[in-house]
Amino acid sequence: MRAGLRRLGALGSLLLVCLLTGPLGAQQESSLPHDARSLLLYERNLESLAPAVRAAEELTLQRAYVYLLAGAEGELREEIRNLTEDHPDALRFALQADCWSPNTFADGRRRSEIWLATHANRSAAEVKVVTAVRDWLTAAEERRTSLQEERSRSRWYPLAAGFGVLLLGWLLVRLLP
Amino acid sequence: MKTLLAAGLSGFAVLTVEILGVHLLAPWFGTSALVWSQQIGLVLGAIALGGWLGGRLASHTPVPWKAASICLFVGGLLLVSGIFLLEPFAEALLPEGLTLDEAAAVFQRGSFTAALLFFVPPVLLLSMLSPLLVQIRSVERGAGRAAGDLSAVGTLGSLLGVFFSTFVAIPSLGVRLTLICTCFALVLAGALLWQRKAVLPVAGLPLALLFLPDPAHAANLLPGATVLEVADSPYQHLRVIELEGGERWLQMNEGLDSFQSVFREGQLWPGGYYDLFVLAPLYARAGIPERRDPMRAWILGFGAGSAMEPLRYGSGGHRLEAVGVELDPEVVALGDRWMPMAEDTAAMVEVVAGADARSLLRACSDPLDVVIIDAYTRQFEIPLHLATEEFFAEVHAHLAPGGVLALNLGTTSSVDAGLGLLARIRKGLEVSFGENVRLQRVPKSRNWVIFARRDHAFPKASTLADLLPEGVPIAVGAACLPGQLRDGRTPVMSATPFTDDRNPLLLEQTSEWWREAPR
Repeated sequence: MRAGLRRLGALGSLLLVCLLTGPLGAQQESSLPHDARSLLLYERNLESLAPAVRAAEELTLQRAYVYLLAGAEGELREEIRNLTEDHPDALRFALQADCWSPNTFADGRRRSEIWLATHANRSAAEVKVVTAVRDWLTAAEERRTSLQEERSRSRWYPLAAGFGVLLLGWLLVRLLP
Repeated sequence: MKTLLAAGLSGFAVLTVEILGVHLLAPWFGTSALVWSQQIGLVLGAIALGGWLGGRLASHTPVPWKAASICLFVGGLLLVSGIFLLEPFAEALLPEGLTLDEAAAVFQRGSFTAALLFFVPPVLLLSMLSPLLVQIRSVERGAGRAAGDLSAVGTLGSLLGVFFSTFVAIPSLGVRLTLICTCFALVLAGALLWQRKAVLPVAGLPLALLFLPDPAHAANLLPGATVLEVADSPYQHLRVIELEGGERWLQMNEGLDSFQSVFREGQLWPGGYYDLFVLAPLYARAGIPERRDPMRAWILGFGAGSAMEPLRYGSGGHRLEAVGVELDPEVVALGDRWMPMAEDTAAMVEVVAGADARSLLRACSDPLDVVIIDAYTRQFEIPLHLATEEFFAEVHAHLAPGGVLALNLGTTSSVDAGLGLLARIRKGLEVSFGENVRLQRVPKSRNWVIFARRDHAFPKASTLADLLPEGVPIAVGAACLPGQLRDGRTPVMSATPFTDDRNPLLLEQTSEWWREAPR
């Protein structure tokens, strides 16, 4: 049984576009992990690097990008923590990962608004995609709000129906011959 | 004789409504254990209230036959109106795009209200019949004998309702047709007993529903999806849908955004947690010098066989002999028609349909290399007897040294917390498997795949690159990174496993479902 992934389906291709317009050039893109084995080999190679090299911003960004692509949320969040909070790509990766769970939708929307307010000078493609992510998250939040309202309303349904049944019983006793 | 027939028909109808009512609700509200409990409770409540009201009516009505026939007649009409109104009611209640994670409260209250509105009134009327019939019959035969005769015949009717519903109606006639025919019989019997020609034509009213399409087919359907086939089995409401991209899902009951099996034509990897099953045969071979040929695997909760391709891929060049166990034969039949496995893959698996996984596993005599547990019932509930420490001990006993159990678990509980499903199931595995337990989170989802290995430690995460063949989806690699993986015993000693004797699994799952729903 699996649930909850479908909601991300429509956004999937959008996120990919976003990634490809990111900080990594096409040449670098082709050398990045493409399957499970290459991801684990990539990870092993990283381990062998000197700490100073590992901590370089460009490599950190690359790792964050790879983890975002693979769906390794724990590692992605860790890498993002290593970058400055308002780094445009770190923020963008974080808000994209926020789409993976309803629990982080609100954070994602907040991040997307911050990103759009502070990084409007980034490429048009990036702005377009972050705008789309923001809109998607806003719609998702609105839907959750309407669900909350529905949930509150639904408290009264059984009571109303129960009252109706009792009324029916009373009418039966009155009306039946 | 007329009184006995009326009592028998009423008993039959009440139990038919009780059982098929849940199946009628299933496409919209599911059939969780709570839905069943509240349906049974409400029907029993209606029987009690109906008996009380019927007794009061019987004591003062001068025309008990007329009152009894009206009860039958109106009861049938109320039931048929319920069948008709259920769909608009559910559509109004359930927001579009609802996901299973979000549905808990709306489902519980919605199904309760629907049962209260659409099933309680007819059952109440039918239950009023009994005291009235006793009143009529006791004039000739005395109260004691009348009550005894009618009670016996009414109970026989109920018995027939139970067995007919499950073993004949659902597989042959279908839920809707059976209920419509029951309504027709009630209204017709009521009209005949009433002896008023004017109401006789109304008896045909329930049959009008037969000319309307069954709205259950498209209940809770994802936008853009099309329904390929719908079936009702004694276990559940099933359908195969096709999404816009051509991907096919086998869904049960309320559907929404979840599936039991997934099929992508011409593609090896089904995606999601299924892909992680590729690791099970790899783990089973790790550190075992002798070649295992054939590699033996059992899949408990086979569905349409979505786990087979990853399992086969992970078996590499080894010959794979698999047994797939599926409780519901209709699931297998739908899978064969709409989600067929590749011919060479299908040749590797013997599918046993209609058997319980735990019972059948006991009959297995060969040591197994892999046991995959992906059994869910009523959408999100793990069968209680497949999550206990005793069952895990049985699986352990059936595994060859180094053999691996792989279990799919959909949960939102924290992996590092002592409470919750994950900790308790992990603890249950530890009883037999000791330290050799590994949990891997499925990327971008709420699912975990839990592996447990007999007598051998798992290969270190840092060496998995050497085990994995090329071409495995990158998400499987992500699940092997430290942020998604936990090894060994649960860190919280207070966690207790589920046992056959004490098993609050259902309550834990339900409360988790409620907690996650929007507040």
